[in-house]
Amino acid sequence: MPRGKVTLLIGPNGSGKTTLINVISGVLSPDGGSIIFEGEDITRLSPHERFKRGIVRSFQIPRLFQNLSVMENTIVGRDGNPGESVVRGLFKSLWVEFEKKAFSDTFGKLEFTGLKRLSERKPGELSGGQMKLLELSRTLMPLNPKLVLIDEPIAGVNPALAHEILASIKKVSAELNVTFLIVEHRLDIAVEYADYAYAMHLGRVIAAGEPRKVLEDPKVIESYLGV
Amino acid sequence: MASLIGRYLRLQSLLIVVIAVVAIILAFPLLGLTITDVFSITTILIVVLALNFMAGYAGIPNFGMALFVYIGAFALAGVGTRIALALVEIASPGFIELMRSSYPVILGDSGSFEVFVRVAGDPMVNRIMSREVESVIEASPILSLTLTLAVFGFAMIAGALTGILASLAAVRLREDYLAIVLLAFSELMVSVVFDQTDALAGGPNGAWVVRPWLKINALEGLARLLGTIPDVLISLAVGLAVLAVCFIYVERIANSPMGRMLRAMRDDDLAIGVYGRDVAMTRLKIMAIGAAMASIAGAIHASVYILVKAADTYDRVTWTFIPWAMMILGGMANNWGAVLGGIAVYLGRKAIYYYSPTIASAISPILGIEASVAGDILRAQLPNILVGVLIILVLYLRPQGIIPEKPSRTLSKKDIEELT
Ligand SMILES: Nc1ncnc2c1ncn2[C@@H]1O[C@H](COP(=O)(O)OP(=O)(O)OP(=O)(O)O)[C@@H](O)[C@H]1O
Ligand SMILES: [Mg+2]
Repeated sequence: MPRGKVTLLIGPNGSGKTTLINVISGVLSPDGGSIIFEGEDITRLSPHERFKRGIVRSFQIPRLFQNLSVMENTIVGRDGNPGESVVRGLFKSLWVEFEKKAFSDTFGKLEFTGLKRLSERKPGELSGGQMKLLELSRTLMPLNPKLVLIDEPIAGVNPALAHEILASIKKVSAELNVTFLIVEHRLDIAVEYADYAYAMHLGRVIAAGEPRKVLEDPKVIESYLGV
Repeated sequence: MASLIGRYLRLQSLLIVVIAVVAIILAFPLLGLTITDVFSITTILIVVLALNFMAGYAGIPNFGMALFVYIGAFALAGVGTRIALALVEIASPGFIELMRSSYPVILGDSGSFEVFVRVAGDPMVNRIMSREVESVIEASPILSLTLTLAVFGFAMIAGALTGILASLAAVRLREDYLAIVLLAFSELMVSVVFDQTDALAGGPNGAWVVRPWLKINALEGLARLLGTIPDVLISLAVGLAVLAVCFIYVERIANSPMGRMLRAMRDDDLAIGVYGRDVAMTRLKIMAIGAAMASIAGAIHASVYILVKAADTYDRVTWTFIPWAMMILGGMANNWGAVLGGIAVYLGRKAIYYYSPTIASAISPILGIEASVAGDILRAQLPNILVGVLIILVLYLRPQGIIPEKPSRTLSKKDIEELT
């Protein structure tokens, strides 16, 4: 995957895209092979240790904290809060500045995804598309991500906002040198924001390269047609 | 609008508090409550707050609370008695020798090590010597304070270590398995290990504790006025102080980024792990803290109940299931709710207990049994049956409890308004 770029991962349903994200982020362990990240073998690390190395992911089916507000669901995505300690949590002066910054960033993200007016709501009160947007808002909160894996960010999102989201991802990627891997079925929208693309079929990569070229690859077209 | 709702909510919680206070005051004459009841409520509230910290906030379904409470009682009954004997022997050398000559029949040929085993392990030796030791301790401020610190220090550390031990095998498990492991571990330790090993703290016979409190004559008058004894007043004062500290601790954590993270972990531990939080380590810490709180409650409780038996005094109904009922009724992940639920369930049980003879004499002709028999059955069974019914009703009708969970208030309203 090219560093600091947006890479698109496509493939028919069940081709193994989400499974790949699960294996990279440590949610599933592979039956064989190893996962190398920045020269380090991370195959045996747990998800939280991989996060510490800069790997962030979102879930295709949102995994939200059902009893936390929209606001809280998002702010929890911000790591490194000094107040998250059974001792330091007692002393507000130790974490209040960090918390304020996290709050204003959270409002910024929610403003962007159009959820700000719902910030006091619970995830259960949101529509399907809004849940996806909340999942995305949380994914954009970590402080120093290196590799962000996003599983279908614009599924169920209206086209105008979908374009804005992808444009913003591309901007973040370029400005902060973050690598994005985006799984998407809405190829019409996604293709123009990607720098590179992979296509998967039956658990294997069948094509890679410049996004439009990958889309036109006969093997890819065949796999989508279900041959 | 928001401030109006805020004011309404504040008014509502104020109203709840006022009603609760009035109900409690009325409860004294109506239910025949005594200082001992106030003391019992105090200790059980510490346990409910600890449980709420672990289960309500962090999602650790601790069905082994009784063990952690017992560890504190053991700190007093099993360990405290021996520390007390050692302190007395150090302060006035020859004490053990004196005991040997005073009680030649039971202690005559015991070596010093054996005396230390039997002082908490053998019912006869324990009963006689705990009183003798206590009379030396209660006369000396230094001994009394040293023993207090030793016992509570031990209760806290042993409680925390037991919490860690219990969770080491279990923290990586899924929630339902975790609940079963904790229940089984607690039963194994309390009903088998402690209740069947005489040498630890008297086994099934239990052990008399050495109360660590100093004898304060000035308290006599007040104690008589309240229908109790000075030692109970000291236990109560210590209990209230510990309750206050525990409440402030859990409430502050609840309204810090830590509280928010715990609630998130409870809702989805996989997702919080993906966002870089070490779930196993967090659970371990929460178990250690919650268990230490419960243990201290156990030590305070044992200081009033004097003769403590493992499985008999620290049974799973009183110290695990009833605290769960209190927490569920009051509202999980809400500390005020836990306190309110604790008081409500305690008073409810007390009311049934108090009025069961009256109810019994009313229903006994219908059932064709003697009033006293019906009264005994009601007293023994009705409170627990109703706690069971209460849990089911609350879970059906108002699963969020009396006071529902609220977002963690890390920043003040003013701060938040400035940020938006
Ligand atoms: N490399 C693989 N090895 C073994 N099983 C796999 C592999 N890839 C996919 N599978 C199986 O296929 C199932 C579906 O895969 P996955 O969820 O990754 O599909 P997807 O590409 O994300 O599809 P969708 O576009 O519908 O989300 C998995 O649950 C898994 O059982
Ligand atoms: Mg998928």
